[in-house]
Amino acid sequence: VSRNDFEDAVRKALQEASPSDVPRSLEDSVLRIPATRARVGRAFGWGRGWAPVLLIAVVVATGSIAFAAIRAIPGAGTPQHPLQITSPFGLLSAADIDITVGGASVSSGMPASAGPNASFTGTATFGQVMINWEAGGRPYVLLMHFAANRTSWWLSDAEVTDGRPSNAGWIYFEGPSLETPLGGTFDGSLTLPSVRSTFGEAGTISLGQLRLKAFQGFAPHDPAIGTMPLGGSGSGVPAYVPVDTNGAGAGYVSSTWLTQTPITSFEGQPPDQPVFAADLRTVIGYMVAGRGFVPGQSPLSS
Amino acid sequence: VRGDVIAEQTIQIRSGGRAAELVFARLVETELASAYATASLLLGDQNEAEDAVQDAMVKAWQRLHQLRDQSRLGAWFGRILINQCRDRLRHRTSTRVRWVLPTPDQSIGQIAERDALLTAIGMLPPEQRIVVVLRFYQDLSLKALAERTGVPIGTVKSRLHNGLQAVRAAYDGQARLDVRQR
Repeated sequence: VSRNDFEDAVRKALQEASPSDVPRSLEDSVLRIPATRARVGRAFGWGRGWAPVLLIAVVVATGSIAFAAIRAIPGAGTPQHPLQITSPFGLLSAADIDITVGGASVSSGMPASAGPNASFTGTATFGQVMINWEAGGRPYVLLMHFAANRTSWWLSDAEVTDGRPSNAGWIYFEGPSLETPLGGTFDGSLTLPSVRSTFGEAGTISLGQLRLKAFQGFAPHDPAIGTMPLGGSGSGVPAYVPVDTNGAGAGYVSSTWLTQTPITSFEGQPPDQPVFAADLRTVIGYMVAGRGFVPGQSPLSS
Repeated sequence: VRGDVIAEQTIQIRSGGRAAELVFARLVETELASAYATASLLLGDQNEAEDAVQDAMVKAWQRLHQLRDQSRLGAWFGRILINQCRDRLRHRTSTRVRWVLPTPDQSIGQIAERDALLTAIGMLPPEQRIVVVLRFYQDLSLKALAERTGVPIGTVKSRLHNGLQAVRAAYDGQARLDVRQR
């Protein structure tokens, strides 16, 4: 038997012996890892440097964030649409997507599907849906991020690529929007004007006959204020701040959006799950060591 | 391919903490099936392979900050997986033999030949088994094998050579047996 024949036989034997499918149990357990396991070390993609500061944020800071007007029109029906994504975490369907950049529509109509990389995942206080599609030979990616507290969930921000065929930029949108009772489904249409973009153009995104539900399967989460470590060092700004609005826990927010300060590390601890910087952008105040709760005040201005 | 390009763009453009979840989602999407198959072949036990892949994925998630080059996500995770499998192989006290059901178009001789090969691969010491499986199942180059296993190319070559010799002996032995049976 020649060497080549022998090596081909080895290849063939290994191919035949390899399992053809991944067990569903493995797939499920692996997909739950981000929601159930804390990462160690410094956080992915963030720079070093931040000093531990005993600040805990609170408050919904409409004044701190340049909210754009957001129009959500509830009430439409929810037929089966080509654009659909369902997962253990949530569901989304829409009749159409229209994106405008600089006043011109760059993508309208209906994606054939949610895309090969579509995903809808999350934890008890943070969720994300990613949809990708192609229209007119141009690839598009839409990311929507969600936050939840003990009583409701809402769209915290979104971004979509601007339709450039290569080196596409992002058009950014910000919430909160679509606030819905936890366990409930939003039915309606949504139009968001942009707050900024990679190339400085204004834009909008509209989703027609939107049906959206997030955080399904998660029990209402009451953040354990004071037990969440504020890891990192150097910046003097807290990485994450538990939010508490009128006694209703509102999850953890990041201060990086306000400060633009890189955050080094963060480790969630059971039963809290890690939430990453810039996931939630609404800061309503801070708990300062020795001073208690200081509402509506950025640590940078105090 | 288009989807991969989009996912890559997404990951590269974003720089916040959510990037970690995107990278992990991409890892699961692109590597899970291959990782499970590779672990099954290395360990010869699909239940143990499931545990090894789960452990490797947890480790990857926990150490995601150590990933320097996202374009090498697969190779980076491959090293974690191989380390998991190696640890399990080293701590074994007995050798497991994998049984494969024949497909209808295979002769008894073909099945015997394949089982002889698989049994011989299963009897190899862990380090030899790893390079043989990665070389002939994943079609990794010698350089990639060296990176994946963390040893010099010369060591990879000698492990591959010795491993193949042992498997070849089993294969030739089965061939002689087939001739006698005819």
